[in-house]
Amino acid sequence: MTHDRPIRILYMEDDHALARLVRVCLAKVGYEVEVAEDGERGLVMHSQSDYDLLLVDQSMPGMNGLDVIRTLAAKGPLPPTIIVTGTGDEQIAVEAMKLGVSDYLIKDVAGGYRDVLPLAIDRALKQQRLAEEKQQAEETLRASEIRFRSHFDQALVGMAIVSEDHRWVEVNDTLCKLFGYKREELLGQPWDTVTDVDDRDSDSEEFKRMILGETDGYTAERRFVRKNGRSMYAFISARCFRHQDGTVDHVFVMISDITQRKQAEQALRRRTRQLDSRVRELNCLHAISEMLADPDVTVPKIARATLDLIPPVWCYSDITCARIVLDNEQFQTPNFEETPWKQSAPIVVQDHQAGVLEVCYLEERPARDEGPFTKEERRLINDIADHLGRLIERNRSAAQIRGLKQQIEFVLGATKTGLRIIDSDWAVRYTDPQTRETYGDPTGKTCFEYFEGTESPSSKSPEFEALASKKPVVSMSTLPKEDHRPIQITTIPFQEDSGQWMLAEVVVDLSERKRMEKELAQAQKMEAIGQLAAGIAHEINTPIQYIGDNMRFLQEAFSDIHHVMQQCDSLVNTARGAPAVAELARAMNAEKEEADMEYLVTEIPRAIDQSLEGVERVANIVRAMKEFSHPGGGQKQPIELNRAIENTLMVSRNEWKYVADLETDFDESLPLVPALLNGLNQVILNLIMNAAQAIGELIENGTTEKGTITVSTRRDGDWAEIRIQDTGPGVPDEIEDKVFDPFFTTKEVGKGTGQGLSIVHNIIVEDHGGTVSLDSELDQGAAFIVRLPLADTSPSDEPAPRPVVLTS
Amino acid sequence: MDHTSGPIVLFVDDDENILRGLTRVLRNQPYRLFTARSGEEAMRVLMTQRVSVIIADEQMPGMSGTDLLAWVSENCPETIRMVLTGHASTSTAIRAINEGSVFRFFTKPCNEVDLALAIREALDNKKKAEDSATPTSP
Repeated sequence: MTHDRPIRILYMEDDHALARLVRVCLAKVGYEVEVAEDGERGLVMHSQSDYDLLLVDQSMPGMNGLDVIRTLAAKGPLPPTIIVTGTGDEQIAVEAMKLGVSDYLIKDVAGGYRDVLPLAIDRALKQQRLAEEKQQAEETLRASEIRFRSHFDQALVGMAIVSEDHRWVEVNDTLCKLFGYKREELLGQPWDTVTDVDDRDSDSEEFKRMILGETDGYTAERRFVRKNGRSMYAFISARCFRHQDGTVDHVFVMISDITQRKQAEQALRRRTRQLDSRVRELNCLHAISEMLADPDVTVPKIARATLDLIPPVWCYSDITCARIVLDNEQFQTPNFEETPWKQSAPIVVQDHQAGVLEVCYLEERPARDEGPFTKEERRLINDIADHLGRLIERNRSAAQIRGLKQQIEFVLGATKTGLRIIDSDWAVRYTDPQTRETYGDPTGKTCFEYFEGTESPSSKSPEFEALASKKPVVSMSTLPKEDHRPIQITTIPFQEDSGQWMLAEVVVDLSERKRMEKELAQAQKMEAIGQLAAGIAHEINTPIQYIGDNMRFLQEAFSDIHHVMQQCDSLVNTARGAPAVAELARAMNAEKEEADMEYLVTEIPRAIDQSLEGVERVANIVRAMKEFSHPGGGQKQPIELNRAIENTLMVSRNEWKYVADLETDFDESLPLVPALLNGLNQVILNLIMNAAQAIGELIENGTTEKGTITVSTRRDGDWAEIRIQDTGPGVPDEIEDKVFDPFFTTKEVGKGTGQGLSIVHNIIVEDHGGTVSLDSELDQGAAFIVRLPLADTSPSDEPAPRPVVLTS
Repeated sequence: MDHTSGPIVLFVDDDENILRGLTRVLRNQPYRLFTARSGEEAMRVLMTQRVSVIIADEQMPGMSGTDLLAWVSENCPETIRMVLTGHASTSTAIRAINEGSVFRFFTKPCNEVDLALAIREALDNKKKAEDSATPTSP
């Protein structure tokens, strides 16, 4: 009952003045009072309007107070009513009370009626409110009881009253239907009859706690077993009701079947889990696959990265550890421990098991498809192992290819062999590193642009020919950008997997071969010359022998003749006085005059002397030539260096005598030097000729008329040193490093092969283990210094191992 | 000059100029100079004359100098053998020394003085050897 509106009071009173007073008084405390002057009027007003309280005077004309109350009580429950009398009358009071009035007041106006009345009204209203509430509560309870009963009986949920000892006391129909038992089969039976074995312990425990008062009740999802043996998921809600003293009255339990929901939930959870695990699997596999993109990835890197990816994907990530065992290596997560809860998958590389991937749970977990693992996890471990195998395979083959490429490029570099791959559009797809270094990046260039700087392919080019004929073509060429280095190109057409025709060109450097061919030709020429020289020497030596013999004979004979003639002269001079001889003497003197005898006597011995000198010189030349061209054989022998040089100087005299004077400064104490005579002669000859040609350049351009070549020998510790100094133009600094390179020449085409100094270098350094160096100042001439070891330390005896470094 | 007696020195060479030249320069030496143009001719001389010293060239048509000296060594071991060759090679010298056991080995051109001295030496050695072999002779 609200107090939003004022409490309305109907006052039945025939005393107007009093009624007005009461009305004012009650208005002061918040009551709205309407007055009816008699009972009849009062009843009419009461029926016409709704009043909160009736205040009725007993003594009224017509119907008195009791009459009014009786009338009202006959119609129904009496509204809150207070009866007021002028005089106390117990009978009226008793009757009024019996009729249900709230209060009985004596109208003692002076004596406090005015103060008592509001309290009485208030009390009456409260009583009325309480009565109404009680009635309402009773009605509610009644309705509720009715509802409950019908609910209990017809509810869609199972309901039961369960005893303190966990037995069925009361069950509704639904519960019976849920379990498939008849009511009488359940009542008095223990609860556990229908509980799933697995849930019994936990259920009875919670029930016990509730009975002991630790909880008021509980809710739970439990599995039950129906009479037909089928499992049922149920949601149970149990509440314990107790007596005032705390003892248990009963336990009310509601049971609803959630099997469908549970199944749906499980299905959903399974789906979600499947999806989730699939997503994680895919992420994991993707991450593993991505490692392939990294060109620097290594097997340990792959293994470690994979191990990092595994635990998050497994169901119990916190207790998941993994290990990868490969041929000789082993990788594992830091927490790895081999446990009985293990899953493993073989890692297969190139059709062979190269290792195994293992995943372990560090603690026991409920059994699933494979121990504690799900079939998804089985699939995943297989997939990961499979991926790993392929990754390792690709990594290994990539590493092999890289290593192979390195090895090939090393070999190409070491053998000065070029390799080019050209496609059918003439685009250069690959070149060896040396070529890239010389020609730059071939990307986007045709082989013609790249190597020759020409725009269009020539139909005569080997590339064109090879592609047209589909057969290998071998061609000789030179490299215009590399000093016209001679090369041999083998152009091999081949078909790619795609069917596109490609060309592989193997470029072999012929410089060395050409050089060797020239050296060989040179050596053969020298050998032939040597044989010729030996033969010629023999031929020449024979006439020299008898020319010499005859000259000496003439010399002696003339001396004898001269003596004879002097005697003749004396005889003539003595005998000319005699007439018999006078004529003869005169004639002889005339003959002597005629023959210029005096001159002959002086000049004939001179002529003979000079002829002998010439014969001597011819003999020396022939001997030098013989020695120079002497086939020394392949073995080193002790050589008189000074003598070898003298021979060479004599043989090569014609090469230098018109351009230079030759000075020698030999160390006569020089010991024998182990050397290959032929080679050494060749070295000295080449250096002398080089010096003569250098000076010749200056004479040609008019700078000088004649130069000087100074050849000196000396001993320097364990070395013999030959220095050949010229007064030529000297060697510019920028080519000083190149002078020993094969084919390097500063001479006009046709004048020099560029081989001379290269041969010198080879013979001295490679055959003798010596050194040859150039000491030159521009405009100061050049000096070549050859140093030969006095001890035979032929490098050919024990070739020094060449360092071969392969990086992989 | 006694050209009818004294020891005989035989020069063998296929070049006649050599033989004549040598004869000229060595004409005053105290021995008789015989010459032969080939090994075969030399052998005929050796078979008819007592030759003290034989000086042969190496390369000759027909019999080589070494073969000749080997034959001399075999058949006239008392004849002192020398070589004068224009084609000196180590192998020739070794063969001459081993097979012909020559006393001297000369290469052309050689000074007649060296040659003459060597012949003298050979003759002296030979004389000493003969003297010691026949001590009773006056």
